[in-house]
Amino acid sequence: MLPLIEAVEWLLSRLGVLSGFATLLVTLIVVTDVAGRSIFNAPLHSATEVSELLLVALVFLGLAGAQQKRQNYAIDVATRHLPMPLQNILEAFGYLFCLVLTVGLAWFSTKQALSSYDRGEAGFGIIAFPIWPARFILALGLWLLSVQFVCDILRFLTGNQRATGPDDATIGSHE
Amino acid sequence: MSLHDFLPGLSIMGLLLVLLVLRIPIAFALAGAGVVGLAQARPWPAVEYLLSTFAYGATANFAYVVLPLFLFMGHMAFSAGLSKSAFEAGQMWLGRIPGGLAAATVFGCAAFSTICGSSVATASTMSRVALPEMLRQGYMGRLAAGCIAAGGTLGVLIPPSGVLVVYAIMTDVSLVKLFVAAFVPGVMTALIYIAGIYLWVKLKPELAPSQEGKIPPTWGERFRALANTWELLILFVAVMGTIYLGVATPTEAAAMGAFFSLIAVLRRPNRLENVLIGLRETATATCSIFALVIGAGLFSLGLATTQFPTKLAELVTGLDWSQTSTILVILIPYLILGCFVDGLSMILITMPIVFPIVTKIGFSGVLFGLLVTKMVEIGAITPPVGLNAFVVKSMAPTVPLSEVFKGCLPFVLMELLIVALMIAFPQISLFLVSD
Repeated sequence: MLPLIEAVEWLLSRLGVLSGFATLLVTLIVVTDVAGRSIFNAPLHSATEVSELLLVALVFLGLAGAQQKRQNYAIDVATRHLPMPLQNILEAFGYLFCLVLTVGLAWFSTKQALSSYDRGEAGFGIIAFPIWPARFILALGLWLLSVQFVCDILRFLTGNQRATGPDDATIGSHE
Repeated sequence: MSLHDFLPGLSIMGLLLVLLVLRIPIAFALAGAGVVGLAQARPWPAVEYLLSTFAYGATANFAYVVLPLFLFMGHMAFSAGLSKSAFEAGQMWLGRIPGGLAAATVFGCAAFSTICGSSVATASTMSRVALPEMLRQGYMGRLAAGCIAAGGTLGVLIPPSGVLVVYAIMTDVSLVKLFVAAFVPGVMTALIYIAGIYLWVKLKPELAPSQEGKIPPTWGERFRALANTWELLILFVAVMGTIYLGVATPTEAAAMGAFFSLIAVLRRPNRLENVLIGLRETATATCSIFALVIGAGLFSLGLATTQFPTKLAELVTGLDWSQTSTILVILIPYLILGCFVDGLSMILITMPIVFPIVTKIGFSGVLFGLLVTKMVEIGAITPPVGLNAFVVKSMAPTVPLSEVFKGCLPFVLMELLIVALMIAFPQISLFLVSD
């Protein structure tokens, strides 16, 4: 079981790394747009829409990887000193809660994405930039996060939890 | 208005509290409580529609692209070690006054903060650059660590600032106005820190080595050190300069900043590795912040359906308190909350409840954002979760954590003085912005 979980998690974390390139692309797109507009009077068409699409990809394709690194902060002051079995129950409850919520959001988002595709939903810019790809990426990201929670639950049940914790303060943390 | 009117709202807040205490990740606890609130008050098809569209609406906004861009720029500035030249310039100009290196550290933090919006990154980079030098020259760990942890907080006050970006997203207050307004209080904070260090060392000379017998730098050396900060200056002009002059939107300015800081990294060794690390860290931080923004947005909607924020705002206005007392009553709990929750989560959890009050009593949303940021700063240098203190400690194995926090204490007192000044004289922040 563990090799399978590790393989799935490896894929999810790679996807997170890949989504990181969205930042680079957005930087280049916006800089090109600004330079084009101010120097050559030729703005980059759909720069705004593409940037929005890339932001959605950056956020949602990276969610599973962020969960793997335990970047979703929780408050543990109240539970830190509880006996271990009780802490375990809380941990399991936490995973289940997050899984149910994420699957719910993923389900409705998928329905919305399908309906958006059927309607050919597009923005109101100079070019009718399609919106449905972003909606599909968003739904996909939520499903991948659900998969990560399933991995977390399986790790919990088989006693193979990851060692990383939110205490690893890195410069990428919140503030 | 009776307690009965508040019950639905209180029950949602109670549910949020229970979920948080049960160690549910903050973003999910907020979303969960919000969804329950919505489901109670609205027909299911409406809730379903909201759940299917909300996450998209809360993310796919061109103005929000500013967040990953500023985060990436901060990472690149960090990797390029741009804080080093600022610290060296500070050293040349301020090194001769009592506690001069500590003052130079604050100067370095302030200069680095003009191109980096993260307090942890600022504290972290200055720990690398200034801490070994201060300890080597015989500064006491308390002063050395305290001035870096506190100086780091300038990262979130002096624009650009990740905290102000999130505050703007949550409250719809203009980011440009926030950035313009934050500049003077930010610089004032740095000056008060430097003055405070001077006084502290005058009162306790054992904190820092004596400057007697040391040869002062020549004017040529001083100006050369200043000239060495050229990359930092270019970045400042490209980013904050264009925002202040109204030439570029924050997103455009942030993209230029990210681009120029990327070039700064590409000019140095380990370029590929540093860029990849920066992209990865930016992605992770962006994900967790947006998870919080979406969660907080759902919570805000769930709470709004109960009319709780509006009713609370009406109740508070009815109390006939002065504006200042109301703001103080709102701000003080942040100091306590800061002991349990990190700054951004604190803002996201509380804004749906307190911002309507702030608007209702006619207080400036811009100034309130700055004051809340100050509260976040204080939380970052006070126990038990003072993130900056932990960052400095992690890079200073010889300085005990208790010493780091003791070193932060004088700065906390200075912060409280600054907050009092900002409330008493709103013009300090607002003289350039109309609200």
